[in-house]
Amino acid sequence: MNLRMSIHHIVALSLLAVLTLSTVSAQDLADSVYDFTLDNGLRVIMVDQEFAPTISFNLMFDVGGVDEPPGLGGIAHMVEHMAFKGTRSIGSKDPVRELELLAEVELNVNTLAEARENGASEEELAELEQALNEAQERALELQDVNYLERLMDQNGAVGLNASTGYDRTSYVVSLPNNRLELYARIYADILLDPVFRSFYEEADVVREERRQRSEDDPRGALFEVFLREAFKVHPYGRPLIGDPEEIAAYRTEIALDFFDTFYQPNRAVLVLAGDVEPERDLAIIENFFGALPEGSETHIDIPSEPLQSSERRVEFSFDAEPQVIAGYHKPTYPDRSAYVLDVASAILSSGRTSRIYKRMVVEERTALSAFTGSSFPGTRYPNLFIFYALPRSPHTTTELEEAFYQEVERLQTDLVDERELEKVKNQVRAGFIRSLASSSGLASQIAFYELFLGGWENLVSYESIIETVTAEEVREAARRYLVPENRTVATLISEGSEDQ
Amino acid sequence: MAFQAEERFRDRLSQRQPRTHLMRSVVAVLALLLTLTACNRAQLDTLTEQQATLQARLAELETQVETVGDTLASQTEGVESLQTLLGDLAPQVDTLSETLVPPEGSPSLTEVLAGLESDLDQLDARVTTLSREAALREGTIPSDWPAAEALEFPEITLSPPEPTRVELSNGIVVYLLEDHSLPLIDGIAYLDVGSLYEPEDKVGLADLTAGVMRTGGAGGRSPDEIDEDLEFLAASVEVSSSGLLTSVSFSSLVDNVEEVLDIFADVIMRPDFDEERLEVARGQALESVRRQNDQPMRIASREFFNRLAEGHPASFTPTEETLNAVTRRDLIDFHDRYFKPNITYMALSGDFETEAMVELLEEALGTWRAREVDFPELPPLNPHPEPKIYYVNKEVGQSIVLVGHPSVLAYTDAYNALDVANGILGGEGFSSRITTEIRTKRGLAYSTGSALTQGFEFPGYFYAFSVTRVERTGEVIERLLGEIRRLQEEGVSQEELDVQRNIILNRAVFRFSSPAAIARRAARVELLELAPNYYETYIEQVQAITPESVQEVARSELRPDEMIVLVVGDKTQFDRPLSDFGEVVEIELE
Repeated sequence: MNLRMSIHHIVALSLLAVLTLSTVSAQDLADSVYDFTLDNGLRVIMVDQEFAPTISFNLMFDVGGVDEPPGLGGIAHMVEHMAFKGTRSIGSKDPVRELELLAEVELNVNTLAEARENGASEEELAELEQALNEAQERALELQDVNYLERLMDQNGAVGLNASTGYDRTSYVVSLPNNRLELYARIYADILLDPVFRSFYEEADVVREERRQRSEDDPRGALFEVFLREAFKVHPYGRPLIGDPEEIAAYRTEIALDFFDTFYQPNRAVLVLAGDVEPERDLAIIENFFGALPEGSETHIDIPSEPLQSSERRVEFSFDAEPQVIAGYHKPTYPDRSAYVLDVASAILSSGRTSRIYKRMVVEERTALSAFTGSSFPGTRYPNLFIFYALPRSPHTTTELEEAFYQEVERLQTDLVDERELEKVKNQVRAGFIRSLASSSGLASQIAFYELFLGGWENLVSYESIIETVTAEEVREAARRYLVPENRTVATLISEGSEDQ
Repeated sequence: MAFQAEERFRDRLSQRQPRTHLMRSVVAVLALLLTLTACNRAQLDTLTEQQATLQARLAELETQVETVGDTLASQTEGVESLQTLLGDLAPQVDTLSETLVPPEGSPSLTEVLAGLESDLDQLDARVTTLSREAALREGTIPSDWPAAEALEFPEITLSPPEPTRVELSNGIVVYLLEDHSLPLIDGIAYLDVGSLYEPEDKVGLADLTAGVMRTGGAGGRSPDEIDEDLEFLAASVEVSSSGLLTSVSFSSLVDNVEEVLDIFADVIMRPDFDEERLEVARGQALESVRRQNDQPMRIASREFFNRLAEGHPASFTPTEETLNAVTRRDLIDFHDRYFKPNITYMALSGDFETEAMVELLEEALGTWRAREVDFPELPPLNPHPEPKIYYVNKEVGQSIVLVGHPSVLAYTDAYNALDVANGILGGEGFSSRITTEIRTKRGLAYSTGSALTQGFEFPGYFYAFSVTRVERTGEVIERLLGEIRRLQEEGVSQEELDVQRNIILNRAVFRFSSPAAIARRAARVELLELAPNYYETYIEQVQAITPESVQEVARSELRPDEMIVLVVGDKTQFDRPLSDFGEVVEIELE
């Protein structure tokens, strides 16, 4: 506190002020973080933020779309849905009888699948489907439907959710801080004793989710086409939610195997950000999560994407206005060029003074929006630098592409202005300070850094690396990676306009 | 490929199940005895003796079974003993078979044996019960874990900081809340003006005014200058507008706050509305209109809410024509007419000293002159728009279904009860009926539920929705309406009501989760002319609600027979024609 007050009086150069302040914040963060590792390997990180008596939780697992076996696209996401179905002691009216009925559902599913394979008649299939439905209904009767969510909600849970990415799966919720024991009791139970009840009903929900996000939505559909084209070998090319045929083929057994393999304490980080009392809270967490057996080490061989040698282009038509996405393969952290390309992306499209916004939106007025991103669609493996834009009629995606390539060429030819570079660095520093104001956002970042980027402490060092990026490095990275033969472009063409 | 999930589920029971099939074997042995009913009287005594032995053994067996129930370890032993017992029984049966001669019939013996069998059945049932209890006790969670619902929690003592309320010399109301945890300052000004006040032939004017206030230069600073200065300082000033509110916000590192406040003041008080930047904003808005039918979701919500508020300014959406009708002069006039300090309510939070900050604000904004604002009269919202089924044709895999009608003003008595009713119906996600019935039990949707919007000035809306594969469209409409009717006809259970009340009570702490949230809410409450204790009243009323009052408000305020229904989808694939639900009007998209 005193330290910061003294800094307030330095002011003088605003730039200097920004710099020093952020150093203080880095120290502040380090001072308020407590990290522990349980005997079973679960890492527990607490961030003490005392404003309100609440805690934001983020339980993140080192498992995502990239870890899925071939043919089982989306199973990581399916398992994420199933984690909310409860346990034997949470969500059942009669757990033993319910397990028996769930076993019967599985028998019916198998019988039906076999009949389909053997080309049974429509009538036979209808009968078997009916039998399956009845078995499902019998099992459902013994289920206390959505009990886990209800229990959380009525204890004041806010933002109860989970998300699956290519890299990781994350379970989030915020609770009044007197409910820590409830959190630990429920989530440790899920990991220890999950019951994947209503599995096939949930697979239907996921099928609806796929329709909503990836089939009827133009952007979702375009991104799927784009990633398939950009990654021919690496799983970043597969749809995260799975193909319809894959979803239809999910079986409880497969999902349980996937869960058993990956949902182990040594592959997880639990972050609590908010009004914590580290010693007391750790004891509560240990009491429940400590009961999880130590998991075995699992190594998944994920194939590398071969070097791309020529531009790939793909078009598809859709009932919507045109859009375009282009992407270049690039390394990920901790490779230095990943940081350098973060800076390049900010120069191109972050804010109203960025090069692409000024050119395409304000001056030439060819785009409704234009955006670049430097770590798509994940961060664990070599990924893409992307450009995504919507043209303003009568301008076309081709014009936007050309303008973008000219901007890339500018990066490859001229050194970026020192002030431009400084502006980006200022924004990264301020962004770090702002990130400390949110407990859920901070919890998520800390979990991700701890799992994949060498430890949460590196969250603090990110800005100091950005600080050292030079104009020459930006030019060099643009020359090396943002080249046509390393590029994939996907374009959404308005349905009915193909002939124009 | 063999799927073993069935075994996985069974495995969870195995070792804990005391092999009821063994008991079945005992019954089978007795069935065998039954076939030996033809024994002669002389042998009856022997047989009765044997039977007595059997019964004694059964008593023994029963004791064993009780042991089985106790622990997993002894259960396994119990199973072994059962096997031994069975082994003992077998030779006896053999002996019986050898000594008895068939068949003369002995009714009394048949009865005895039937009784014995019935004893065994009971025993069998008991074993099952015991085994379940044992299985539960012997689950993989440690035995000292309390049941999740049995946990008790210490009370939370909540003493949130109160923001300081200050009125600047020109009437701006400011709520300030210091927070020295980070070197940041955030602020927002809410103005009591929005798109509801724009003329019908210039829909889009409020948005364009808000947009170009920020991008069109201000106080003699050029558009580029403002962008450049703010972004170099990693600060922001943004303007946005909604139906009833316009907000102008800023965020700054503490050391640059004077500079940022100066820009903020220029933007709010002295926008220059650069002609070129207006053209940029108009072009963006026109392109957005061109793209307004790209996403089925966007079509559905626009067309639905426009029908709910038909004739009211809340239903107006910008078109090419209205956007092109807006001139720079309109922006200047709109700003001049409505952007006044006397309808401005601010909230500031962050690393400042309150007194010094008030001085800064007075300096930056003090010259802004107050003037009475002449608000146009808003027409009333028709509370009973004509019920119809609206259909928008779109070749999609999923239909978007919305059903609803105008409802009540926010935080009135009826709203407070209806809010709870809606929570039970579909407003509280997985803790509500629609999600349970449509999503969880039947897998018919990923997005489904209901909502009660907060109406200020004019009533809010009640609606239910589902995004469902086209071939189940009719079923889902039926289910949505059915759940609304069920709420009216059957009411709710005390348990369902308790869940909702607990949700509201226990979440209340999140209203104070950040200094910005506290200060901003105080400013909005005053702008919306809500009673300062409106939320306490709401909580009190929610606590007093009974299942009867929920049913009552559902009956008086929900009108399942007078719904506006909107469906975006492909009717050639529907399971039922929409005309089943009422008069259908097809909306042609532009």
